[in-house]
Amino acid sequence: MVEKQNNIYWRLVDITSHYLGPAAERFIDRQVQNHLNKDPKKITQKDVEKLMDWIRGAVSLLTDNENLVEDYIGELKKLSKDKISRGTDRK
Amino acid sequence: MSVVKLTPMRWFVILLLIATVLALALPPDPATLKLYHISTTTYRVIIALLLIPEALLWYACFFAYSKLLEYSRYLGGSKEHRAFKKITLGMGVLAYGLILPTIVSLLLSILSHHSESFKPSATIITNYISLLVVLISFSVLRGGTQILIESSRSIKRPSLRGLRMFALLFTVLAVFFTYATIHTHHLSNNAYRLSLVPLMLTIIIPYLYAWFEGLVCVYNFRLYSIYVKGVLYKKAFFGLSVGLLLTVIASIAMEFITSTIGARKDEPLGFVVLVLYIIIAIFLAGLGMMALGTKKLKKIEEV
Repeated sequence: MVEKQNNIYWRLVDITSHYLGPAAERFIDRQVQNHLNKDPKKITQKDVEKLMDWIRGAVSLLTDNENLVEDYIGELKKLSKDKISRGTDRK
Repeated sequence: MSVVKLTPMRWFVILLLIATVLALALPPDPATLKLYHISTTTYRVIIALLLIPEALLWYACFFAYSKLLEYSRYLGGSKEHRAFKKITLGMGVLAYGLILPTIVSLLLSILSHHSESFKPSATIITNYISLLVVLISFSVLRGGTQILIESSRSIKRPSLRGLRMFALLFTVLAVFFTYATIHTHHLSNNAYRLSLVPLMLTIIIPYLYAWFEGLVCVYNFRLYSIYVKGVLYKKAFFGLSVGLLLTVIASIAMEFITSTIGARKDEPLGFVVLVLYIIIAIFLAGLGMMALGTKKLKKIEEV
């Protein structure tokens, strides 16, 4: 089934998967639901900005490597400021 | 009235208590006392000392199993869920399967005390239970790792060089095990108490098949840990993958020693015990790494 999905959400999952692999989607869903109380698939660039501190805190619990955490946050910052197309087809 | 939930760790405590009570309370075999020139008290002290490393091993296996069980609960609905459910089941069979043959063997020894002719049957029953445990647990673990690598699109097919190395390693293992078991069989009354044909058909071939499954399982896990995405995930998964490698290798080595023990009569007992302790240490290290790796993976699902 092909359905219209939020491009921001999938880009966020894609960035996160470079750090958390197959756990990325579950991690993002948890962060959005717990801290923003909304449907993860409906997040916006503003939401990504709001999530950054929560994500930094969560990932810092998983590693002592600060450079790695900053790299990840840097990519999220870029995502929150990028010009993004409104939607994309995804299987 | 509240019902106490029987978690794997509680099962471990129950089964350990049963094994300890049976091992220490059952009267020793007079033939054994006569053979080693020891008193009943010395016999019980030796049994207690032998139980300590075994109990540690059982604990480590149940701990790794309980960590995998907790982790797989977090994966509900994901692609890896089915794979980890099977891997957890395989570890569960291994955990219960390490302790149950000991309990069965102790229970059967009660019958052996009453009837000397039952001794070979007791040995055969215990050996087949141990074989079934390895066969089922390695097959289920392999099935789980197969699902895991099939769920990842990034995993490439194994290279021909890798397959050749694998084939060479397994052939060497198969030849040595077959030679050592048959050689022991000719030298003495073998540990399995079976004649040559049943020994080959019902012990050697099933063990070699189980080990093949175990080695494929390790290979699949290694492949997945190389190709899976995620710096932090990879790091956590590495522990699990190396832990499984050590567990499978130690399990194979342990059986190898057991099946060829008859041929080691001339070697000093201290040497054989030392080798067994080294294997148990590798087993423990493997299970510990598995538990730690799983703990790290679980943490990713908790933050």
